[in-house]
Amino acid sequence: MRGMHEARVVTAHARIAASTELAYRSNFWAYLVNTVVTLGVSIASIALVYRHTDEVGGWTSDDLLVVVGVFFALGAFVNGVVHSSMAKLVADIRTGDFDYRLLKPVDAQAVAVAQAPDPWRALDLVIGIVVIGFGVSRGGLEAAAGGIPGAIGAAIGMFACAVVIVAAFWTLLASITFWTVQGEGILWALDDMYDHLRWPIGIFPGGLRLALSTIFPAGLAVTVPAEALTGRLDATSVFMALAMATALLVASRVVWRVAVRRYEGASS
Amino acid sequence: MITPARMRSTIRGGMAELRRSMLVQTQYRANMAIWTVASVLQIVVYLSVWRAVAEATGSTGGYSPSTFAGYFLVLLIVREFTYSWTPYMLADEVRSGRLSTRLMRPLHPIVQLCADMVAHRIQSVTLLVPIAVILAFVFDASVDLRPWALVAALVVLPLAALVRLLVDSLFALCSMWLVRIDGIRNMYYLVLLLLGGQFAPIDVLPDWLRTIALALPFYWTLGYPTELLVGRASIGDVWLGIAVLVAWSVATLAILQPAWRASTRAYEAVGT
Repeated sequence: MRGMHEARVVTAHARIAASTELAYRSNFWAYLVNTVVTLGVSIASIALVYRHTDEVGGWTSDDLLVVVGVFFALGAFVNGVVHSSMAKLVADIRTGDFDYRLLKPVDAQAVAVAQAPDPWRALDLVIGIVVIGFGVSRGGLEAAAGGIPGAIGAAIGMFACAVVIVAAFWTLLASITFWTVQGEGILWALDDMYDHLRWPIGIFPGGLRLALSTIFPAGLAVTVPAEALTGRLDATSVFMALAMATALLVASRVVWRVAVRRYEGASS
Repeated sequence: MITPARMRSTIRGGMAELRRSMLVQTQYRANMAIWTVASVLQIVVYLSVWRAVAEATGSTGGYSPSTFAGYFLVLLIVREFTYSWTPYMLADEVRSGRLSTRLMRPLHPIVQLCADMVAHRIQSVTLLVPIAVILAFVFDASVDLRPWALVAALVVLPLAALVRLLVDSLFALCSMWLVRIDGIRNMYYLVLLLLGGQFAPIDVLPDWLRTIALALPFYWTLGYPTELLVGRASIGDVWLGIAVLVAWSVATLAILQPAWRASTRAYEAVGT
């Protein structure tokens, strides 16, 4: 089976990357403190906003906690798997090491997306789930269609869509590196953009909402699981999430194919 | 020792680096485009959040929906003007070991980092000003820009950029000891976000947090020049602002020299 082979190679890469990362022990403590501070700042920014009002665009502060939780959980994938792997891809393209990748009998794109996971980021996933649980328990879920199990099922489905959306979108943009050679800047910019999406796109004006669903769909990705968990998920959101996930998956695959064909091996 | 001859050669080297960097920048247009989108997006997100709050309450911390929009759009330009990359660039050079070659050259490595930033800034600010003007119409922004504030900004903005560069560089030197600073760098930027006036004007913060913000250099490099340009500072505040910025630049410059020397000694040239 082809897919199985890819999965085994990706797992092996993940293991190697994890042991490399675990060599920098002091980084763990910095990392732990860092995650706690990030969470603190997120909660502080919500507190600052809700000092002045009880509701922003129909979202209460408890609902916002759920959004922050999703932001953390999805961030674990964005930063911990996609970004770090793409950073390696971009560096390999610039140095020409990507040549070796293409020579190996394994799907290069599948490996590129997950080749260098950062194990510390699993902490973000745990923290995200805790924050979501806290927000949901304060906000109450009974209002959601299908009750609590229905809402959780919908949230898991939407979260899967969200992971596909960000992974495909990041790959799509990182593929630009095949043309421009310099790609670290793009990844940093994407990171920076993701970092500020701790707000549901529903509170934004129409144009911005549309932009954060299509041009930079990470806004949609953070919002839809949170909508499912706060009883706000409607058919439009589900459709948007599914459509974007499918479209981006296809687009990233097509662009990757074209890009690899164009790759010349810029090695020195 | 700083001698006139060394100053001259540093300036000459810096200008050459600047020319080189300008040319390099124009090659990487995709990068420039995406960074522009990123900085606009961040500002527009916070602008929208605070506008929604002000619309619900009428006025928040003395800001109406229109003046919030004005604040954030001016901040867009100020932020770009004062931005520095040293926490990324220097840390990257240290981790990859590329700093070793730079240390061998007769030009201080900071000079090249500065040249890169100035080159990027000239192009990005030119790009962002028209975008800010268009967004000002979209968000119905209102700014009370007085002529004397504009004159004052000619002094305040370069000073703010200098202080930001010095503080950032001091912070970046941590990488010489720690090799990887990803963790603490993120924290550094979060403090900057919250206390620099980037997430919100510091007037909407609770008093105790506002006091902390005033005691740190970040507000003076970002929030203060912005408030000056949107007409929230009086002439008296200008002298205070300039004095604070000069004090910070003298203090950080004094620490930077010995810190650089100590940290280059700690530098191990790890390489990848």
